[in-house]
Amino acid sequence: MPASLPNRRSAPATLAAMAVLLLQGACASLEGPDYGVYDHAPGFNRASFDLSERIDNNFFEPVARSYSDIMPEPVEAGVLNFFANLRTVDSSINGFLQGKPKSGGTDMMRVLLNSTVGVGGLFDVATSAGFAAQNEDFGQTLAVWGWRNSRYVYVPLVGPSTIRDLPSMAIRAFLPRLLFGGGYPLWASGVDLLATRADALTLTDTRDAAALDPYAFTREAYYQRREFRVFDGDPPLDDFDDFFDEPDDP
Amino acid sequence: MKRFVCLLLFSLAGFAGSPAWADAASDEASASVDAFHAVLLDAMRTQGFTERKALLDPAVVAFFDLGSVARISVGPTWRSLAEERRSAFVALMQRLITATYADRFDSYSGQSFVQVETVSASTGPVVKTRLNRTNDEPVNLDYYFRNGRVFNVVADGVSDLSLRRADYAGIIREAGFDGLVADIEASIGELGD
Repeated sequence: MPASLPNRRSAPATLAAMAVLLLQGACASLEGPDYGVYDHAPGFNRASFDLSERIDNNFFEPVARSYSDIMPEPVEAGVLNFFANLRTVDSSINGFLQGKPKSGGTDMMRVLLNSTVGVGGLFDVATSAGFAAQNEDFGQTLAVWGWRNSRYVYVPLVGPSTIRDLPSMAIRAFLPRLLFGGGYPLWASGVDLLATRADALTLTDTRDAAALDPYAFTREAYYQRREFRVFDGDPPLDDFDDFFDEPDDP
Repeated sequence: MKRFVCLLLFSLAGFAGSPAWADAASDEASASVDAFHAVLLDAMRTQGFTERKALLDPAVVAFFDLGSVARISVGPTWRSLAEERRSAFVALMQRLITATYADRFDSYSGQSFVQVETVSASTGPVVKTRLNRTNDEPVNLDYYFRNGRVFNVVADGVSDLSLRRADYAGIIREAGFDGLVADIEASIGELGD
């Protein structure tokens, strides 16, 4: 039977069914974690998370820890600053795309100052000069343009994301190569990856100490953190009053 | 008459915007946050995990609405729990929160807390603060009050209570409430190592 629009007779029934589904959806959001409803492929995502964690625990994390132990702190900071400076180009463009010329201009000044006075981006002189990092990206731009929460994806070996944030993730990963062209050496990508993982050690250590279900913990934290970023650190006040709608007794 | 009505509406609007009881609640919440932060700073200067826990425990009991934290963290399963199990879980939350603070706030290196502002939510005052660190970026800490106590702490946009609720939901689904209790006990045991 070909699919068709509901006829007059079945329209009320369809509307009733939709109302029930919507009601169930509303109840589900009260009965479970808020952002779990965006996880449409928990089987794949959890498997991807487990595999990534196994590889990370056995390879990336120990290497990153050794790197962090061996490297003097200023060198570690310099490496991070260098790659962050390259990605500020992306942040600046997205500031403008979001209709925030001040934010885009601030990042532009950061690139100029850090690339020159900051010796090719090794030193962050812009922050102390009053040009704080704006941390914009294309995923936030899409959110500002109206694509709010989207489906959750745990990208193997990369980390948590959403369908909306995937292009942004790719842009940021390949940006140095886009800026330098074919002359950008492969080992530089390796150093970038290593420095990024070393920088995230505190974060993953805190998660591992606090989380009973690291997968759900990571997903919830990712969505909340993205929301915080989309609103430039000042999201609308959430009353959390839904939490008090649940009766204590059956 | 028209002027009188306008004045009445204006004064009512002013009253609704900042009622005396709301100001009193905000002042109390603000003082409560200051007192808790003072204890956190003391804890950072205190040697030994057990000593820090002893210092923090009464402050955690006075500051947090542990009953709400426990109920909301467990979710719908809470409704099926007998009163004794609920009380035991509230006590477990108290131990977990105290041990977590004792574990995290274990050394002092020039950190300071500042209050940014207090705003009103439908549940009560929200005290927005900032933890300044010497070699790192500051952290925004927002304390959500209800009936004079804190039920949620939001750090840089991440809600402690929402995280806990999401974290526990899967464990309850897979291993039941007893599994959750066992996991929290194990987690407390690992803190302070």
